[in-house]
Amino acid sequence: MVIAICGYTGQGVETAGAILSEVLRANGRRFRTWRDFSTIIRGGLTSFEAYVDEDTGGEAPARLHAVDVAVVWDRQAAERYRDRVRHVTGLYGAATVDGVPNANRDVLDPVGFNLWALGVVACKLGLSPEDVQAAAMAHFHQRVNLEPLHRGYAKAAGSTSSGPVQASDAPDTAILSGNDALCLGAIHGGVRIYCGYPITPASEILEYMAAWLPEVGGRAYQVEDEIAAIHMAIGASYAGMRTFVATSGPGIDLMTEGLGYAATIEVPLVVVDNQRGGPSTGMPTKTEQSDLRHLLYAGHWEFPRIVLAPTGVVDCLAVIQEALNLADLHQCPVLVALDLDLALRRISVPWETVNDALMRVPALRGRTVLPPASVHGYRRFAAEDGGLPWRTVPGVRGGGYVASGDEHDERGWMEPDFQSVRPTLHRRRLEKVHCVRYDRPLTPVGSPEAPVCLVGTGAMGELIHAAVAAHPDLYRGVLLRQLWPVPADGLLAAVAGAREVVVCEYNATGQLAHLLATTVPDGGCRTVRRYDGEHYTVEAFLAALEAAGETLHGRVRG
Amino acid sequence: MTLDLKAYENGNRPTWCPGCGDYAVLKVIQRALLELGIAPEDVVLVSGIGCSGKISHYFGGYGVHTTHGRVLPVAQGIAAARPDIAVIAAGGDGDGYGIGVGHLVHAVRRNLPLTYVVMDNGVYGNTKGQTSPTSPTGYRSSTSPHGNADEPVHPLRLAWSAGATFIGQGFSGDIRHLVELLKQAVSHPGFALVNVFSPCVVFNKTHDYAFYRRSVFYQETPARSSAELIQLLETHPFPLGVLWRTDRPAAARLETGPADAVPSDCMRRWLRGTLG
Ligand SMILES: Cc1ncc(C[n+]2csc(CCOP(=O)(O)OP(=O)(O)O)c2C)c(N)n1
Ligand code: SF4
Repeated sequence: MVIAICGYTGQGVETAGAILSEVLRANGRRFRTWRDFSTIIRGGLTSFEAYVDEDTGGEAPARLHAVDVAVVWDRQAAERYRDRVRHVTGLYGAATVDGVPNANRDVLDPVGFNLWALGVVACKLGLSPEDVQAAAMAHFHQRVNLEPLHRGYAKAAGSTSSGPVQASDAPDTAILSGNDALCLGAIHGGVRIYCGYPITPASEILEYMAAWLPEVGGRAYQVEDEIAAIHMAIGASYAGMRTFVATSGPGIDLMTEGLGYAATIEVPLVVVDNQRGGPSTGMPTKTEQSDLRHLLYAGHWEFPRIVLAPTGVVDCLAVIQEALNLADLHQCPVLVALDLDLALRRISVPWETVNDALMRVPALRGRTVLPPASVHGYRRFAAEDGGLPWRTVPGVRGGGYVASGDEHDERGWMEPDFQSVRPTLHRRRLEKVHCVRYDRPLTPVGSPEAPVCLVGTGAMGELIHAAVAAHPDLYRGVLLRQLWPVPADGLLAAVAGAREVVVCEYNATGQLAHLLATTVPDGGCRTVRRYDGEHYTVEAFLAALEAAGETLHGRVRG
Repeated sequence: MTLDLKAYENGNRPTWCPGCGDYAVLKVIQRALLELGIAPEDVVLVSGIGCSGKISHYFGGYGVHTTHGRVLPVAQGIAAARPDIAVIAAGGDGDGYGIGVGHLVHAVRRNLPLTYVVMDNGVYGNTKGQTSPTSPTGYRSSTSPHGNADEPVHPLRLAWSAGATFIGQGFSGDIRHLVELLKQAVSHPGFALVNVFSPCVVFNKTHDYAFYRRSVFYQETPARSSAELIQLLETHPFPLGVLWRTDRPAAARLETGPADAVPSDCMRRWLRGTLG
């Protein structure tokens, strides 16, 4: 069943969603939620949607267009859902809203609307009123008037035949967003220091780290800007502590300065870009995957980098740890491309799945020398065996060197003989990502016989899964996790035999398609693109695929 | 192992102009660390960009030569992550009071334990003598041929207004005094700003050694109140010594030691918390 609550921002729609999620989790129901919010803190529309299964366990599917129950505050909200409810009797709302069936209306106060809506949907979902009441009381620390909740319940009960569904043996379930997963993975991977600057949709990462890190001996710092954040992270990483930074497009612009520096001094650095609609300040609360080119090319060249992208919420748990490992193994920046949709959507996940994903990645520090070790005749940037140089950190006796952004020799000293260091040290530094030690560059989905191969990253992952599940004879998929360097061999194998390759992405210019165009056979692929800030529902995605199949528009030539 | 000055050198010969004030600053940092008994491998000298920024290339411990203006963020990252390591940040007036001045205000507020030495020569030495944030009004250079129109930055007042817990000032022409000053700064449990008049003998024709010898004033004890500090800065434009010191607590840092595994109930509890 899909439910939706829509009111204006500031009305507590998200709070109702949080309480509902907690009850669903405690009941072991399988579900996923979306938040759709406006840039306006008070006054814009905010929606909370949840897909809830009768079943328990497993991962919930992608967002669906059709909604069973929508509770709306006003006319604007009603218009958003009128076409999406399966039947008009699924529309509930305030007495003042036209188009809502009479039996489904109630005289509502703006303040109590969220609890009333919570009552309606909880009843429709068969949740016991006691559970919801208890969760609401806990959420508000006992200080709340629950009268609207009961009224909502009664309203929905009047038109509902099914009684409460009894919770089955509730499995141990967690509710997880991409941002949650990223933070858990990072902390599990050994991150104990975090520096950040607030920005939608990455602020939560700073908030979680600020709340969680002190409990495990760590610290989070809210710093003056993203330039400070990345340089503090470089300092901490140089000093041997694992860390990462996360921001969104405008912050990535500022962080660019630090990327080249980290790469030049060969310090591990993980940078997460929680992409939102650009350019400039763009659409802060809307999703997009339009920073790819920036992540690939940012900075005055030439320096090595690796770019990864998680393919789903659970995948974030592992990818951030793999990014930390790759940064240590290759001593270079690793950029992680997230998108707003993936960062903010919440899904129910069996705790065991979370635990497995966390545990799968052991921490690898590569050639890092930590105190109390000591070294002799040490040259930081010398790599005799054709591999990577050893990296000492402060406290290692004999390990002193200069970490300089100026071009340097093997000791790190500036003003070297450029003629001699550019073909040696500089080349070694550039070429160290030619062979990336990553074992999960992509995941193929579906049958290798299917003629049309859908390629995507991030939020596209679950849509590709849904499309393949809907039409297994027509579609197969490739969820790409390593974007740079392009994992050419794996990609070629995955698309082999496909009649058509369709690259699916949230941007206007087909950035991923352009990146892959030189690798994909016949030099080209079709694209499915969306850039209006909204994310696809499964139905809309399938329609877009169909349309792309019919037109030649969108063909990218390599 | 007994330490000597050699342990704080790395054999790299400085390429500063003969007579540059920065030679003295390097010497002073090395001597102060030796006298404090802090082993070179337990120190990171973080520097900015400019002639002054080269200082980390001549240090026998760990050196970090950052990008222009970012010396304080990098230094704070190290200080926050490694409470067992002494951090000295160093750079020029252009680096610290121009491009990096925003970071200075926040480093002062945050009060992570580290010493920040600014080699103040009133010019952009490395780029060949342009006007800098501490060049006086009326100063003539290639970028202000008709005289500098701007009010100079007053770093000590700026740091004080941001809540500094330690403000000192020294002069490259008085090494002994500067060593003592630096030892106090390095021992300070919070953020310590040490502004050093470090003449650029090539480009700054007005603020040379002779000028400072004439102008400096030795202040024996820190000001006891804000009024006294302001009064001091009004009457003596070039006071030397520890001028201001308070004991506001420093920012919390990482607890050292390896990162232990986080118990899974702890993570589960965290996830519940994110819903509200
Ligand atoms: C982002 C950036 N802008 C400009 C420069 C060029 N630059 C190099 S050194 C310098 C001035 C340094 O002046 P100061 O900090 O006073 O140090 P000094 O050379 O006088 O010791 C400038 C502007 C640079 N390296 N990076
Ligand atoms: S140009 Fe000035 S600041 Fe630079 S080394 Fe020479 S004297 Fe020192």
